[in-house]
Amino acid sequence: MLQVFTNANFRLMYGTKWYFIAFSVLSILVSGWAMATRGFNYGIDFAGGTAVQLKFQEAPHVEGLRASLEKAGLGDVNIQRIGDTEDNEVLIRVEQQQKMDATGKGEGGEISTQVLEALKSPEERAAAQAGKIDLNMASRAALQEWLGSRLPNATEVAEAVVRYRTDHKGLLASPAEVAAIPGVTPEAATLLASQSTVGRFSLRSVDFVGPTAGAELLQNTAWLIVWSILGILTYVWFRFRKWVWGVTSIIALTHDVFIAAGMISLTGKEFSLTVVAALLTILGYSIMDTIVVFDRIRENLRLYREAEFEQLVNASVNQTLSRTMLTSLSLLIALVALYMFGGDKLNPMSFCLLVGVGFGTYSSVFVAAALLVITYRRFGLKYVKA
Amino acid sequence: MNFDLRWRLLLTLVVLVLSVWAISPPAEKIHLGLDLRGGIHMVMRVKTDDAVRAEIDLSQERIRAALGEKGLAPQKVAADGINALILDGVDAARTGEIRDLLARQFPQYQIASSGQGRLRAQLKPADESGIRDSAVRQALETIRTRVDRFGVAEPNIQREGGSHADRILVQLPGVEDPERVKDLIGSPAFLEWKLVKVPPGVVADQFRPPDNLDALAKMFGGTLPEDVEALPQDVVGQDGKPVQIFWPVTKSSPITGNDLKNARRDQDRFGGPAVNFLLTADAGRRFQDLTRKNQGQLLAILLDRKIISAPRINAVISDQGIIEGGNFTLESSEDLALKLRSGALPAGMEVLEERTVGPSLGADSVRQGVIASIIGSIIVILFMLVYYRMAGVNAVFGLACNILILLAAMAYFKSTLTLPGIAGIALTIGMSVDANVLIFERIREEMRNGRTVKAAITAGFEKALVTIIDSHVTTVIPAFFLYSKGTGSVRGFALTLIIGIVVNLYTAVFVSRALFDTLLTLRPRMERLSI
Repeated sequence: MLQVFTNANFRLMYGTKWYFIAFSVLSILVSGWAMATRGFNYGIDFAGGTAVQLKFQEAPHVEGLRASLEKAGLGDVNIQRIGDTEDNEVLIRVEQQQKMDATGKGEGGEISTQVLEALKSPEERAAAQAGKIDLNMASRAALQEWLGSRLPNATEVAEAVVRYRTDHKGLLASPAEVAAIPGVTPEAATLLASQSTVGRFSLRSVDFVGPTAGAELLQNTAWLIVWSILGILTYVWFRFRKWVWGVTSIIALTHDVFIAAGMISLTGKEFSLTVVAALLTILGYSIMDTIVVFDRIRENLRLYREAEFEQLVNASVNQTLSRTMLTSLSLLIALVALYMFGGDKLNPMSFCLLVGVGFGTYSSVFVAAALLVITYRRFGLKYVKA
Repeated sequence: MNFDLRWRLLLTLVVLVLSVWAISPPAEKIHLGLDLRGGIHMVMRVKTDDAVRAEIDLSQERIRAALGEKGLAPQKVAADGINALILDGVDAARTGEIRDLLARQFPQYQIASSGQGRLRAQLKPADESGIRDSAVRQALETIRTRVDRFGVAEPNIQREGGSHADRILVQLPGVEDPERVKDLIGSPAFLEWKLVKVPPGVVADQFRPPDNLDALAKMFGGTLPEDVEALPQDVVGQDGKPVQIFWPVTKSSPITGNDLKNARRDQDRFGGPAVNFLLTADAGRRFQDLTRKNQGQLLAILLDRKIISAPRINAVISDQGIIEGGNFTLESSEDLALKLRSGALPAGMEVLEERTVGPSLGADSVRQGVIASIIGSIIVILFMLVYYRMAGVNAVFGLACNILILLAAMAYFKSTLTLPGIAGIALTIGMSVDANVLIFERIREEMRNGRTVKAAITAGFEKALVTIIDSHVTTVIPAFFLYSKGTGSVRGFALTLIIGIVVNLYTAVFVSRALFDTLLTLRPRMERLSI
């Protein structure tokens, strides 16, 4: 039989527990320091503004892009490469909100349109002036419309081209490529070969969040966490009938969430809505881990009334140690897979979960159980009849 | 095999068959969110203040008229804030009479005295919130009509945040032109016809509107007349750059978009795009009247308080006409006709949030999410098999059931799978073995303490059950708050997590136990359990 621990009997709840408490305090201090001095790298969900994600044919030159955008008067822009190097993708963030003219309409078009316009090369502008359509940028509706005024079966051709483009990572290398697409008629291919261009990039996504939406969201998030903690506190108090158990488990999970948030701040990963979801999941996971240990302590209290409390908690922690390790191991496996292969958008979320699950496992033993022992010692509480 | 066990196995089988049926074919049954299939997600706010202000504007005229009829007209009736009117210079002796009349004819107002010869009429809170609510509902209907005519498959348009909210959520899968969509659903599309009041001493044909308000006022000798206002038109200047010019037009609009019967795309004299309109019979008569009386004058056509064109009235027009000269393209003339047909929005709209995902990004996200989930599953499965051997098979079967039923439940409830939702599934894969681990470790412990295989299994399941329920409930609590209070794709994450946890309770406790019991029935005298 394969086992992590055979009859584990580590002395975790005695003198050594102070080392772990010290480690936790240190982690909390580092997290608090990071959040206080560095703050969060708020994603567009919270900060508001416009984010445009583009995929280029060839490796994009970030400084060149920045220069073009600054020339267009878009103010502070943040450009970063995302994904793998060979993906040639960039994310452009413009914090500036829409300038309004006197009648309340946006000036100079949407920020995202201004960004796309500013990034066009002189050749691309000339092609657009000449009425040529950009096969990498045109939406299905736009392509259909453009073809519609020139060909009979525009719908099918547009459909076929867009499907092909989607399957080829959103980019065509040359207008001649369309000839090989099934569903594109020879006439359409000839027309597109001479009357279309392929731009240097294609549009992957555009996000816009207004200033009010972001501020509201931040407030909602804070409440969401508070409500969840209160909900858990109520349940734990109801199940264990002792406030000390409820409070220690809450301290343990606050510890985990605090440190996970601190690590997001420390690494400068984007704080987005999905990170909030991750923080709440950590709440759930952390309490689940703690409950398993507490359940065992309660069970042992009924069985061995005469034992010393420290000894009893130590035994309970040891009995559940295999399970704690196995569960967190399988969860960490799933999360590492998500972190490595899940793509950019899920990266901050899976990172946050990884940190949280790691600390959640640790805290169920070294924070929750240890605090339980310490409080019972310090206040001389009775633990029988649990 | 006993009767009870047979039923349990049958139930397990039925649930599995139903699940497979519910998700096949997956491409049709699993509803992908916009972040995975591409499309536009937009949250708009209806500026309900506009609707309240419009009601005040309307009442201002009506109150003046109603009081005037009885010879009670105050010196001034003016708006006070957005939801009240001030009546100034009221005949102090007849205040009671005025209040009676107002209370009878304008019951939506609360009348109060506010100083000598002054009355204040404020909209009652219930009426005000009624106006706001109906503005949002009307906006919702108008947007629905416009989107329906735009021809989008499976649009989702709903009010967000309860019945008093002013938010409207618009989700359009497979659409990638946010500009066009926003213009289509967000512009009020309020059409008006107003006569142009040229400055004194100027012939209508020779009038050239200036590009600033001061110059216009000067033409009128300093200030515009009481019943005239200046409204802009966007034109292309001599240097090719866009400029705004200002027209002096009447404040009142004899004909508006509310008088339209139909509108469609058409061509102007030169074959360029234009919009053809048809008025109701009643409005047609008024239009005829208007054009007959004002031959040779200019008649401005306005959309959302901007002038499209101001042609000269050359003939008597009745119920049919054409709107041209608005720099129309084929597309914009079609869109305008559509907006006019679906009616005007009762209030302005503000875009709070807008997300457009291209189809290629969505496809990549699905691919990455699926790959991550599969890799995670394979390693977890190997881990379980190596560690628990035969019992590992039991856990793996449970894991497979868990994911299958989770997807089936999502398909059945027509819930959408979002990118964070895929993360939720990956997390479920990792967490679902927890209950198995708890039970298996207990069984091992019981066997170490010298129990028989059968007794160990029974005790293991019984003792672990309390803990499993506790841990499941506490995990669901934050997920529940995230689902009920969260927004957008994150709710998808909470949903997969909640369903995953609930299903897990069934697979880990019920299915896994049935498998162990089957094993015990087949080999009753088993002395060693491969666990």
